[in-house]
Formats: sequence, C-alpha cells, structure tokens
Amino acid sequence: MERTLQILKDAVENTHLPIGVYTGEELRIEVANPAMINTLGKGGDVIGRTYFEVVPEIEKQHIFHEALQAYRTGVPFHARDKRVDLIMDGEENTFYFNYSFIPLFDAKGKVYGVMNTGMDVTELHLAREQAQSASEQLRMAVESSGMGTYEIDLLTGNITTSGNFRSIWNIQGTVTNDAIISRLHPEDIPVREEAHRQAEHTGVISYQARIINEDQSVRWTSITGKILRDETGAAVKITGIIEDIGCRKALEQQLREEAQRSNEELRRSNEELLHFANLVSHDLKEPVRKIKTFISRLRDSVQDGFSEKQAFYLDKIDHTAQRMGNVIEGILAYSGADKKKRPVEAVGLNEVLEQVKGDLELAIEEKDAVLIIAELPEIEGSKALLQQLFYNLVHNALKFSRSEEPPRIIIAGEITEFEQRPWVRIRIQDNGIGIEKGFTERVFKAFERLHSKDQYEGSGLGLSLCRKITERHGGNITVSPNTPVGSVFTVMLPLKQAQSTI
Amino acid sequence: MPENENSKKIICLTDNDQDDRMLLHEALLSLEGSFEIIELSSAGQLLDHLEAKPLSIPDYIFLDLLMPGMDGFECLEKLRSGPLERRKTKVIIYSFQSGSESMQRAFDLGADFYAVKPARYSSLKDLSRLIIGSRWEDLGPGQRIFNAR
Repeated sequence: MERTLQILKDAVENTHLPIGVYTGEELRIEVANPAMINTLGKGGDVIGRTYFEVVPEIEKQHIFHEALQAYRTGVPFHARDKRVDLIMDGEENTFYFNYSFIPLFDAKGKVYGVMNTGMDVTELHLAREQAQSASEQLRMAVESSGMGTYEIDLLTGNITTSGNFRSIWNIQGTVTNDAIISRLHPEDIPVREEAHRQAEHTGVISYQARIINEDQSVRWTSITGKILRDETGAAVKITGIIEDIGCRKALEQQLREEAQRSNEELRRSNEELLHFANLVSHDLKEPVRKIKTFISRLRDSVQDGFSEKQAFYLDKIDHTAQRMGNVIEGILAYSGADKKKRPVEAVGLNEVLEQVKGDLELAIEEKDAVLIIAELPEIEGSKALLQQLFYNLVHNALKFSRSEEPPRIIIAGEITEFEQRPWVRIRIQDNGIGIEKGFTERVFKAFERLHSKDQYEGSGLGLSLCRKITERHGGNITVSPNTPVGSVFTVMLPLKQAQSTI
Repeated sequence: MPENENSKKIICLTDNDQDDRMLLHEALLSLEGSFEIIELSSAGQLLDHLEAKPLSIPDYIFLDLLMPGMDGFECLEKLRSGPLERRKTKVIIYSFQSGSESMQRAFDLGADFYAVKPARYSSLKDLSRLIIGSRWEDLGPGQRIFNAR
C-alpha cells in the first residue's frame, strides 16, 4: 500500500499534466504538482492557500464557479479548448486549456474536494486559429474575385467545388465531369482536350473556354489547374480555379473594334486628304499658270521699259509662281501616286537615267555638275514611276549641293540576292550638304522639310514619293551619310515583279 | 488646208475661262493673216452659234474640256456627228488637262489636235502658229499634241 502510494505520488509529481486537488468549500489547495504550480504561475508557495487566493483572476471568468459547482453537486466539469486569462509574473496572458474539475468522494460518498487537471493547448489552438483564418481569407478572396475552385479526385471521380464555381456553371446538385463537358461550347471541347494533353507534360492545365448558359448565351471562362501526383507519379487529383472572364473578353473585343474603327477612320481621312489635296492642286494649278502667263505678257509688252527694281520684283513674282507650281505638282504626284495601277514592263535603268539626265540637262549645266552612271541592269517595273524615282533622286542631289564645290553624282548598281530573289542595289552618291544622322528616316516623310525653303526649294514631297515608288515595286530606299561629305541613297529593287501591274 | 485659204479664217474659241480666251485671242491676232475670231463661253453657245450661222463654217474650233454644262467631250461628239460640212472643221482641244487618258479619249472622239494650255505667252504664240501655219496633212499622230510644260 505504501509502495502504491509512493508510485502514485511519483506519477503525479512527474507528469506534464498539471494536477491539483482542492478540498473543502473554500477549495484549499492540498495537492499541486510542479506542472500545476507552473501553470498557476504564482510561484511554489501555493499549498495550503485557497484556490481563490492563488488565482483571483479566474473568478470573473466563472472558472472558480465551475470548480465550486463540481464540489457542490458532485458532477464533473469538463472544458475543452477554453480561453483562460492568467496573470503570470505580474502580466496577464491568454491561454487555452482543456481542463476539468472532478469531484472526489470520501468513503461515505460525500464530496471532500475536486481534482483539477488542465492541459495547456494554447499552441494547438493558435495553430488552428491561424489555419482557419488563412482558409477563411482564401475563401473570401476566391469569393470576392468571382472565381470558383474545384478539386477532382481522379480515383473516385468526385468533384468538390467552392466559391463561385456553381454560379459560373449554374449547376445545382452533384458536379460531374460529364455534366461540365456537356456545357462547353463545342468549339472549345478540343481546346480543353489539348490543354489536358499538354498538362500531362507540364503538370499545369490552362485554357479559355466558353460555357453555354441555359438561355444559350455564352460565358467566357479561364480555367487554370494543376495535376497532383502521388509518390509513384500517378495523377491522383486535379485542383484548379475557374474564372468568369466575360468582362475581360468583352473589353478585349471592344478594344479590338475600337482599334479597327480608328484604323478605318484613319485610312478614310487619309484618302480624303489625298483626294482633297488632289482637287485643290488642280484648282490651284490654273491660277498659277495664269500668273505665269500674265507675267510673260507683261514682259513682252514692256520690252525695255522696266527699271532694275521693277525687273527684280517681276523676277521675284515669276520665281514664286514657279515654286508654287512645283509644290502643286508635287502634291499632285504624291496624291495620285498610288491611285492608278501601272503595267509592269521591262525597264532598262540606264535608259531611264539617260532620260533623267536629259530632263535635268539645264540644271546640270548650270551647276557644272558631273554625273557618272555605271552599268545598270534591266528590271521589271513601271517605266514612268522609275523615271520619276531617279529624276527626284538626281534632282535632289543637284539641289542640295554645296556652293563651294560642283556637284558630283555617282550612280552604280550591283545584283544581289535577298530572300532567294535577285535584286539590284543602286547607290546614288553625292558630295552635297549631306544628311544628319537623326534625319535619315524623316527625309522620306511627306511634307518634311529639313531646310528653310529660301535655302533649298522643293515641295517636301520628292523623297516621300521616291519611297512610295520603291515600295510599289516591292523594294525600299534608305539614306546614309557619305564620307567625308554628301549622302548616299540606296535603292533596293527586285529584278522581277510577281504581278503584271503594280 | 482649209478651203477658204485666201479669205478670212474663222476661228471659234470655246472656253468658259475669259482670260484664256483673251490670251489665245491675242496670240492669234499677233500672227500674220486675217481672222474672224468668235469667243464663246460654253459648248452650248458654240452649238447655237453654228446653228445660227450655217453658212460661215469655222476653220478651227478651240474647245476646252472642263466647262460647266456640256463638257468638251460631249460637244466634240456632237460636232463629229453633225452636218457633214461641220466635220471638216479642225477641232483643237484646248485644256489644262495633260493626262494621257483625256488625250486618248479626245482623239477617239475625233479631235484633230490636243493642246495643253501653256503657261508662257511665247508658248501660246508657238501653239497658234502651229495651228494656223501647219499643213495638216503632214502632221503625224505624235505631232498633234502640244504640251509646253
């Protein structure tokens, strides 16, 4: 008996489960093992004092009452995961306990005290709380995002869902794979199959598909899932989210339509502008011609009568009218440049350049220019357009010459292959004022003029017309600075044309 | 050569542009020879004039293309399908349009000459001299176009 008592005592002393025995109506502490003393947190000196004296803070939490109730009624009291605030080392702390007050009976069956056990489950409680709040947050996030989540158990075929999954699919009752597939837009079933096939390698399912609603309207959704595998690598689960992207799709569609519309508007206004330019140029051509005619009439009628000043002014008028005429011609050529299809013919480029040389004979002589033209091939294209192209280029080189040196223009070409087609690359090289690096693209833009018109005249359309012409032939034109002075224009033209008109 | 070689040559200038009529008129008058020049400001006026004076058939008709009302092409068509005597008249299209389509169309409709209105008065005199002084039988198709620009 003594030995049994000793064993019991040892067990009580050494267990981590706090145990205390409180006797009498005043619940005087008769036994408190070290674990209990530790839990009460009021130091080792507790035996012989009342429970209330030691932990007065529990009164307002009704715990004292629970203990007394067990003592008075003989009915044990159990609490699970209950919050208890204890003052330890002068500070109030919150704990969670599984605790009991178990009445102890004497030989006569009368209650003489209560045994108090209290397992501290605070850590467990907090961990659970954290997990709960995390999953709650996730749930709220999923719900407020409008997404739905799903999990397919591949072994049982069971599907569990959450969030807006059911409202997106508008499904009540059990969700089955077949039910879902039957609701997909027929065109999107292969999309889903392909996504699942790819997921076998990537582990990730991602696709967009349309759901057909009951009223036959269509709902765009985005589905993203993941295949989960067991240790052997066998797929066991698919978990994923589905999102209603109708709004996004509608926005995309709207943006696309808006872009299309503004493109169309741009094209139309461009056409209208060209049409307008064409009309106005025609109307302006006549007055300009008349001005020139009347100037020549005036000159004829006052043969020797003009003073130097008058002659100077007359020259100015004449010159201005000429310039206006050039601008108008430029606009006409530019606005009419892509209107009419031209027949493709064999064009000898040397012939074209001879013609250009003849057309510019006066300017060449005036500027004392040297024009060197190497041997050039025959290509397919529009003779009239090519003539205009080289006229503009040579004219340009003559116009933008430096006053201190006569213009020297070298034109040479070579056959080259590009994209498995034969091309001719023609270089038009001059020793003129050149082009600054930053302007090599701008010179080809319509109405760009890099120099003040007093210095170098032009319509601002010549080079943009050149670009149009090369592009019509399927080629291109670029410019780079020449060294040490001048510029080099490089024209790339295919030798053959695919169409009979361009 | 027109029939009434030695008498006054009758020339009709049909153009709604008064300046152009005046300039051409002056250029023609600057040439040697005597002319009766009639200015008409529309194709309708020209046809009315021809109707009213069936006996004085013009030697030359200068005809603008772009005119309010009946245009030059339509007028040309009417001239060429009218009374036989009228068809002998040399019709010179006198227009600022220099496109090859309008030239082709004019010749197809029976024009004898196509002149693009020149800017310089000297060119206008050259044109007048060419029209009045040419032996028309000798003018090849390529010589029946005047474009001084």
